[in-house]
Amino acid sequence: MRDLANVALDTARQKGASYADIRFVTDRSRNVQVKNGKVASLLNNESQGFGVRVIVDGAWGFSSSSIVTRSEIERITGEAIAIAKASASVHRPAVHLGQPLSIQARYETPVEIDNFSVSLDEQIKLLLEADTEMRKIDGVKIATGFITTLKTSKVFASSEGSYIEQELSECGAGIEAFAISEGGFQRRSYPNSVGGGWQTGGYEYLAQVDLVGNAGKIAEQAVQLLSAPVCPDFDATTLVLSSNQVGLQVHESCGHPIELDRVMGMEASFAGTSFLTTEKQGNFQYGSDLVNIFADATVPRGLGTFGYDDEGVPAQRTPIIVNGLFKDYITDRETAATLGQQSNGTSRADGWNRLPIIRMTNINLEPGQAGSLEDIIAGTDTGIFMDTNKSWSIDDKRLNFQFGLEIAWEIKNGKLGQMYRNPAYTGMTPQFWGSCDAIGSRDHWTVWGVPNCGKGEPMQGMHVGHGAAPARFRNIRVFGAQG
Amino acid sequence: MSEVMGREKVLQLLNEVLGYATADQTEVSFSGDRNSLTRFANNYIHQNVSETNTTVRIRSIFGQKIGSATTNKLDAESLKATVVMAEQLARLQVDDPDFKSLPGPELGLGARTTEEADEATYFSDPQVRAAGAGAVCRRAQEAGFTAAGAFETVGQESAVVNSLGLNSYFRGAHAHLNMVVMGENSSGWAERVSPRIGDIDYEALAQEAVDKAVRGQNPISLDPGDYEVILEEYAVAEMLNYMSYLGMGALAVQEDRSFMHLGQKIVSPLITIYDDGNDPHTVKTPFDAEGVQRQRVNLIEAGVAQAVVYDTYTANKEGGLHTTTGHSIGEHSDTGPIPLNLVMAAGDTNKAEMLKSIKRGLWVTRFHYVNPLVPDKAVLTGMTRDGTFLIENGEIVGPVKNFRFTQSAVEALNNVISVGSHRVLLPSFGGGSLVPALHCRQFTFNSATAF
Repeated sequence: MRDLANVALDTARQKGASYADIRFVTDRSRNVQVKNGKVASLLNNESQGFGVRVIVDGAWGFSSSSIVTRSEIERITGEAIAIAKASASVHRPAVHLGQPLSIQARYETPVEIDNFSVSLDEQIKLLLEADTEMRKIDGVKIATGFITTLKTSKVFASSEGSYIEQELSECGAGIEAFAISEGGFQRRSYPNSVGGGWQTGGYEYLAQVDLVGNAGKIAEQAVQLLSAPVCPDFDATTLVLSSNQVGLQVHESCGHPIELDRVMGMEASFAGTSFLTTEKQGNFQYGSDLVNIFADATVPRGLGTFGYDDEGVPAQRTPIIVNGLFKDYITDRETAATLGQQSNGTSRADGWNRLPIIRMTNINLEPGQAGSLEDIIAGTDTGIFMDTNKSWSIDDKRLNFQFGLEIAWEIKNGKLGQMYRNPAYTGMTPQFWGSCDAIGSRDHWTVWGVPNCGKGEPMQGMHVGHGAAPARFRNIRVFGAQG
Repeated sequence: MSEVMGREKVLQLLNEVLGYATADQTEVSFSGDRNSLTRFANNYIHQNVSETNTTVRIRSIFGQKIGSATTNKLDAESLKATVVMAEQLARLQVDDPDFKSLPGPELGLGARTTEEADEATYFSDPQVRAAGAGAVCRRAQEAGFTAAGAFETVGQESAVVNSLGLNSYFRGAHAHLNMVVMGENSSGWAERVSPRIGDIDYEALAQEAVDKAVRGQNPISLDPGDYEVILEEYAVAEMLNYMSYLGMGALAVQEDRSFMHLGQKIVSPLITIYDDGNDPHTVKTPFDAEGVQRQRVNLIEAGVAQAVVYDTYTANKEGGLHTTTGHSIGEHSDTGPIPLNLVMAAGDTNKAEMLKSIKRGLWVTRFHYVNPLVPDKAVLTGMTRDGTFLIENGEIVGPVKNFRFTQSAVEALNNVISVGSHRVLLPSFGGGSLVPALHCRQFTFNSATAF
């Protein structure tokens, strides 16, 4: 592979590039889905290719191909050069990447059980068992489940002398129960909604999540939701959130606003910009003093855990918010250099055919000292507890957000009472985090995987993680969605 | 693979793959992509990318057991291994009683194939995209603003063959330009899709976005609530796209999670919506993931829900009452078949006339980050963005800060008072939507943001 990498680097140098890198990526994924007692799909995907990135006349060019041959690498490198020259024709400040980086290394995701060593029979059996448990409950109309396993092999080589090999493994799984009546449609998911639960690592994840053991409970709740009242409206009440929803709240209202390319306007036409402009660095109160957030690409089993990012920068743990105070952005080499900083290693590409851009790694809300979810509820006089996301939306500067959840209960005198359907809450980012007065302890902290984070044009889906525990927020606007 | 393979070579390759198969039925699909995108921000090009990729997908069927495998390696050894993988997966399956058969040859395009890609779009020149991006940046800069956006071209060869003799091939292309022009406290938007890059008038679009940013300066705060609205084409397309996957496919109806109560009036009589993958005014996609030629489906006629779209699987589930309409998006989707080429019939009112008729209301340019809150009722939430204005006594009196809406899209269409006479082609989830502006009697905004 070194020889092929050198074809791109030599060709780029000869054609006038001041910098070049090439990434070879091979992805393999296997997906099993069941639905209502049947195997809905069995799919094996394999994809390989390479992408060449060059700087010519101070501007970027990138091209990619699925055909990994010497002649195609030469052609694609030439195309990247031509694209860079076209970029340079629209005047711009020249790209600077900061200090050169030369690293030779290899990284592999720690795995206990190789994902591709487990038979599909075993996976199907497990999912059908969970499916049966869900459909035992009267009123469940649709039961679904999936297991997806991934393995990605990457080679990164740059004109600065880096040569890095990585082999990343991931495992995801989840189940959903749907109950339907004339009055509506309700869903419960486990261990998380919208893509299920995910980790880097091997098939050992399936033993942790216990799909079969949780199937009956979520099915019962889906049916109970059909006759539950709509969540009442409160202009301001106490809100306790499940750990998985805290993870998504971090994703939307902390993870995206701290992306420095977004702050600098580079995502303006698609995902938007950020309220977190650069003069706020080091002096903006993002949340209460309980709120501590790190971007941590090193946390074990996080879905955003790796050895090196797609610019060859080592994985890091970076303080983002400390005691509520905003400290730092997530950066790549180009944007970090504009602030006089070094990249903190968050430049990631969705495959060989995409340009690396700033992406979340694991953006973790550090554990607090409030114990378990039950402890937080026991310490709450009145309020609402909401569990598992159903809907998410936030404005293009990441201030006004609204989340719908699958299920809620009233909290009265420290205990759960009435169940509610279609709960939702809304707020503004800094005020919301400023109202946080309890975060669960480390024993109740989970690194949730989000396998569907979208950003960039062309769209890049990214696998990211969020460490989170259950948490409590005061004076939150809560309502029930009518429907 | 910079050049086009062409119909003969692609079908020859797929038929060779069919020759490796031992299953009762086999389907082989091909997708050859040649995509380029130039991205600009802060008035310069900051990303400029190109991609060449080919993917072959094999679906193998033994009896009623189905397995699938894909690869982007086109050498014979890799393709044979992918066939073996798909067949291994199929043998692990349990029977699916709702599967009857792959579609027969009469449903494919066969010899009716045409090559309709505009070559300037298909083989997009980075200098042409740079010229467009540069023009937008210059126009924004001259007005004291900064521009961000993307100029994209998509070229695709698609083909499907199966062991029953079906074959379909198409080569198409389209271009897409979007831009936001931003000032200190305002922004404006413009966007177009076209099968021909030369038809995208980037100078006019840049002017549209600049004008909107000029008019949007110094917005005031306004209380959220129910407002009469003009929804520009951008907002309508976004709303319609979500409706397409939430309820306009047969699986959603079969699973009782659709708002399409067939035979009933569900929206204003002014609303007619159909799907047509062969309409030359949209992004043409003449066959679906199973190679079945797309039919025009009249989804809503004069406010009455008339039909939803089918693939072979959902048609079979209804035991012969329906046939596929050519809307499969692949077997693995929880959403089932969905329409991707939506067309809303034009009305007879222009936006200036809509404006004149409103005593107090809002002008909404576009929506941002829309998501379903109650999917079976098509209750959506999202933000306004890039140009929201207060209307009083038939005139725009000034810009307002952006609102969050929480609103059933079905109810919004039921509240339509008039429909725009001009239509715009905009992106959908997989093709293009041709939509007019709408004037709605009531639309619910439940909170506001700070800008």
